[in-house]
Order: sequence, then structure tokens, then C-alpha cells
Amino acid sequence: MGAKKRILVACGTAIATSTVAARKIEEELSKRDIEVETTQCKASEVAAKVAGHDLVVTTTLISDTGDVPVLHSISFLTGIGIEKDIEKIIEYLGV
Amino acid sequence: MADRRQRLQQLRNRIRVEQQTSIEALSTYFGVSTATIRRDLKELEKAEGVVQTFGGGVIYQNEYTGAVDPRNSAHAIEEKIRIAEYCTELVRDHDDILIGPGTTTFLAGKIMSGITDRKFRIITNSLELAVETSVAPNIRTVMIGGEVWNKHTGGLEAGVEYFGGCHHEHTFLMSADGVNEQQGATVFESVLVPLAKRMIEISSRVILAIDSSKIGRARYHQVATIDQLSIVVTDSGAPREFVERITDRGIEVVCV
Repeated sequence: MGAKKRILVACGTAIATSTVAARKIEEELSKRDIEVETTQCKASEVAAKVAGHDLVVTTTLISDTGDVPVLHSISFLTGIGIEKDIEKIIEYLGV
Repeated sequence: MADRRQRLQQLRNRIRVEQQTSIEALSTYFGVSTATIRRDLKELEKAEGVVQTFGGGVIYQNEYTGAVDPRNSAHAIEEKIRIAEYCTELVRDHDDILIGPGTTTFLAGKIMSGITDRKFRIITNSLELAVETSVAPNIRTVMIGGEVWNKHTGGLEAGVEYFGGCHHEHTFLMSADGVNEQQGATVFESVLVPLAKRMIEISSRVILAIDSSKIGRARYHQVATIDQLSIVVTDSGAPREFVERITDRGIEVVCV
């Protein structure tokens, strides 16, 4: 098994949103025996913090993230479509 | 050997009727092994809202059982999330926050579960929300009980115990289906009204979280007059005239 994958979780204004999303992602992935490390930030901080991450999951629109793939998802807030988004995350991470 | 397709059909109906059952019970009912039931459930899980839980439980979950209804969740969802996010910033340390029914308030409550720098209480009648907020060590979650109503976020006939001896300094985070100057905040469903009115009575701060598509509309049942509101949180699509007139009446209006 390779190194722990790192996910940057971004949200709009309140940092609380990314806390909720990150918690859900970790919870869902650990059910599948996938351990990840999540970092949280505001949408405006993505460009500065994206380096070293394997994926960005954002609840709002964000600007350029370079080579790092981005998943725009609100399922972790609404509760609808979590399964599909988790599958996408796994695909992006290649785990 | 019974026709598998037929059994799957019967199994699906059985789970629908029962809503919640177990692999053991289904195995006894259909007279087949638990391994067969497990295999059948896997099949049903693909297409249906059948969910297996730990310990052999089986739940029927349709797409309408969640608090956020996918039929209208696409409507202004980005705005609702922005509004909900702003509402979480209005949480004060040691607040007692009543969460009223509705998508926006549910989202706000859920995002509040990510707040780590304040301690507060959330009082809700939504089982789904209570599950979310109860994981946060800094939040005390209080459920007010009552009958579970599938279509909306939880119980509606609130347990009187909570309202009996409580203080009147709560923060009430409410939503509505319409708001205008004359009729105030209004909703479609009359069943929602008594609980919301009771919540207003015990609140010193009433926050209306409402996306701008509902401004200027009046629905059938009034929940709050304009003057009962303390803060209106809406999105940038709100008509300026409305914002100005409401502000003139001493209500804080925030457009996010």
C-alpha cells in the first residue's frame, strides 16, 4: 500500500462547511478501509494550499488548481448522491 | 426452486411494507437461507433504496425519506448553502438554537455541526439532523420529540416537555415558503405552524433564512409577522426595494 492520500476540502465562507464535508469523506472512505488525510480551507485559499494534495473536493466554485483534480460536490451537505461522489473520489485517488 | 425474479419482487414489497427488518426475519418469511437473502439484497441494492445495515438489519430508504428532497433540492441549492453558511456565523457561544423545518435550516444545522470554536445547544425535531450534530463534542443536541413525519424533517407535534419550563432567550432559525411585508413569513403546510409559533414565543432572536425566489410571495399560513423577525438572511437576488423597506422597519437584512 502506498502513502496516505491527501485531500484538500474547500468551502465558501464558513470553515464549518469543510469540516462537515471532510468528516463525511473520512467516514465513508474508512468504511471502505481507505485511510486519507484531509486538510480544510476556504475557496480563496485553494491556490495557495493545493500543493501536495491528490484531490480537491469543494462545495463551491474555485479557481485554478493546477494538475490536481477537482470534485465539485454538495452531496456531503445535502446527503444526496454521497455514494456516487465517494466512488468518484476513489477513482480520482486510484486506491 | 422458486422463481428468483418473483422472489425479488416479493422481497422488495416485503421490505417496503416493513420499512425496517432483518435478514433473519426475511429468511424465515421466505423459507430460504440467509445467504440467499443476502444475495437477493445485493441485487436489490443496485436498483432500489434497500440498505443493509451492520448486524443484518435491512432498511428501505426511498429518495424522499431524507430531509433534503431531491425533487426540489436543485432549486436554489447554491444560494441555500450560502445562506446556511452565513447562518452558522450567527451562532453565539452558549446559544440555544431552535432549528425549524425546511431545507435551508436543515443545511444550516448540519453545517453548524462543523463549528468547533463555540459551545452551544441545538434543539431540533429532525432525527436526521440530530444524528449529524450529536457527533460534535461542543454541541448538545436536544430532540423535542413528537410524531415522525416522513415528508419533512422529523416530528411536528413537538413534545410539550421541552417548551414547559424553558427560558425565552432562544435563537430560532426558521425558514418559510414565502415572505412579504404585509403577511410576513408564510408556509404551505398548516401542520408546520403551531410548532414554529411556539418556537417564536420562546425566542429573543428570530432568524429567517430564505432564498430570494420566495421574497414577495405569500403562502397560505402565516408563521411570523415581519416585526417578529430579528434578522433575514437571503441571497444577492433579493429585490433592493424589499431589503430597504424591511431594513427601515428595524430588521437586519443580510444578502449573501
